[in-house]
Amino acid sequence: MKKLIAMLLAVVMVLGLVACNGGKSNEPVYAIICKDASNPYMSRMVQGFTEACNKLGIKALEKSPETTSAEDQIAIINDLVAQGVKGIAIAANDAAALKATIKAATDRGIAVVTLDSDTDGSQMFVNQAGVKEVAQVLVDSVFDMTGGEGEFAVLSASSTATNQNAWIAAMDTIIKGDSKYAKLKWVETVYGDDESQKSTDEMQNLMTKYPNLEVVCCPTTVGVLAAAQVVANNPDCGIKIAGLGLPSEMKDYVGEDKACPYMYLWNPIDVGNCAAYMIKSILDGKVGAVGTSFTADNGKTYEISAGDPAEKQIIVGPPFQFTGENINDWAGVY
Amino acid sequence: MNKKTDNKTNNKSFSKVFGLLRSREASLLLVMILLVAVIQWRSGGMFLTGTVLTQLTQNYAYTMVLSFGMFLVLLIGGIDISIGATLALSGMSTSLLMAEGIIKNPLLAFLFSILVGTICGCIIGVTITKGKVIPIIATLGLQYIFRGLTYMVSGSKWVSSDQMLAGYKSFAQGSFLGLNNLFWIVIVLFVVMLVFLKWTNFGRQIYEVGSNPDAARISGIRIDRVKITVYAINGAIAGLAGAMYTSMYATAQGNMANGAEMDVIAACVIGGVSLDGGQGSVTGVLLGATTIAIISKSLSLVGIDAFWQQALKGAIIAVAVLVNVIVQRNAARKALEGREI
Repeated sequence: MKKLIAMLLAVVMVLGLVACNGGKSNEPVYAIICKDASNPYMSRMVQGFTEACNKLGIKALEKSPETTSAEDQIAIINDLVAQGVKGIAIAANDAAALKATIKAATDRGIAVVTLDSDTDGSQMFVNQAGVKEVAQVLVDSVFDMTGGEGEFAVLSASSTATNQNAWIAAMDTIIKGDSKYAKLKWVETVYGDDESQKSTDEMQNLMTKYPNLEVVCCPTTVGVLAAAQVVANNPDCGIKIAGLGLPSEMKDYVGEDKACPYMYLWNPIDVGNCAAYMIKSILDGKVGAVGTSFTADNGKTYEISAGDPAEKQIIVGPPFQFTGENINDWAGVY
Repeated sequence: MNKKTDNKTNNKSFSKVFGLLRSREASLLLVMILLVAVIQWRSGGMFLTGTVLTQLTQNYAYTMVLSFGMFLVLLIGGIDISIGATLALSGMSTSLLMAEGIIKNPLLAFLFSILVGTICGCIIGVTITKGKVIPIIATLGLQYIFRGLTYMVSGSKWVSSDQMLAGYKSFAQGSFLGLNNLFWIVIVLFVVMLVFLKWTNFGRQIYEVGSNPDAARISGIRIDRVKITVYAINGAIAGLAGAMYTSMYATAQGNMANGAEMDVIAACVIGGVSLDGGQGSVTGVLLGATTIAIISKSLSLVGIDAFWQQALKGAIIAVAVLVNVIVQRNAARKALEGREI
């Protein structure tokens, strides 16, 4: 039995090598490296990447480690460099460990961008969640669901969560900066610590404290779920839930006359798609200094901002809207 | 009901008041009434309403149930900090089997969750007694194993509401005679524990093992068997809590109930359970768990800044324990004086 497995493995390895050799032809190749091979969210990213490559007339190659290991990703990058790929997009498994390997690749003229998770040494981070963009869709959801005026509250993760605090601060700036939002009354921001019990408590207490509450905005996947469940169990409360949620988790609660009419999260297909165009733009020399902008081959204009830790970053676009119509398609994805 | 007791104590003579205070439960009840009064005042009368109290009993039922299990473990002089992980593993595996369509009956789901919890508890009990590992270390290690297993079986994914049985989810939202179903579990378990500890041989043996292990051994009690059984019961209760949690929130997440053990231990200590073993009553534990629930539920109602909530919760717990200890010490001294005369 062991021998059989060993033989099978050997055959797979030989096939793998043959496949690698295929990449050595003159056709340009862009490669994408995921965090691990079995993540459905990542496979949608690959799908977007491949689609963009096909449009650009470039061969797309996916190489992903079995587990979320940075060591394996280093080995994969070295292989890809040896194969002579033109560009690499990587969802990094470590924020620092890949630096030397990536530098060796960029020194040979290979464009390396990061997507989903950034790492030191990357030339550009393809950021799925621009703070301003996220805050804007959240404020607009509140504006739309209240009908332009009324009380709303925010149910966040923990009071120290970096992402959530940045979004909440940006929401505040947007609301104060536009008289369109003057009739929205932000009654309170509460923190559910991304725990079901605490989030449920906070949501129920908001309803007790503010009888005229119309919308609760939850920029966190655990909070939005707990809040939607509370509303679903109190169908007469008339409160709507807005926020960022996982489609697979929120399937029961998203829809026209449900607790959450629509919600947002990044679309992995768009992220993968954008990464391919960014590689092309870097190779074409379109990407200038921080603070400038450029138009990629997909016709969209991107502003370059300073990345951390990547040299530069661009923002893919506004988050993706999940409604009652598309939620079932996405529930199986992530 | 709290108000009634309060009035009664005011009307009776001083000696009667003192007589009442001699019991741990009465002193704790007093602390609780004070707490509720302050909350009611500070929240502008929002706390003592049917809705909020229903939410409290529903949302904290699983914490109360966990406290009963922890109480037994503390009684034998042990501790179990793995109950949050046991809850997660049993709740997750039950939810996964529901998602796969293997468990088709809500009652079966609860029983399966209890079974998983019992197995976890047995492993803990055997590790501690046969492996001679001290409880805090054994459960610290096993906590990581159970939590890791939870992530492994679920593949780090969540089980969502639409994958769960409708009857399983509606059970947690339903009520009987005006009380939430989950709170009925608390009541039933409370009565069972009361009878079990007071009137069964095994219940008395638990106290004996905790208060004087040597005497217990000499008197022929098989200590290891008692201990393993207690950890198994605690595991079963954590398993039950796992089913309660997942049915209540209609979601199973790998990191659920992370850190729940701390609130549960605090509930027991507030309830007058000694960490040295052998001391405490199930009524005290219920009151302690209710106190924790009241504090957790009301902090944001009272309008305290989120940054201060944790600190304030800790301070209230510390004060509650302190007041309880002082009152009890006085009572014990008076009782001793009474005996000498």
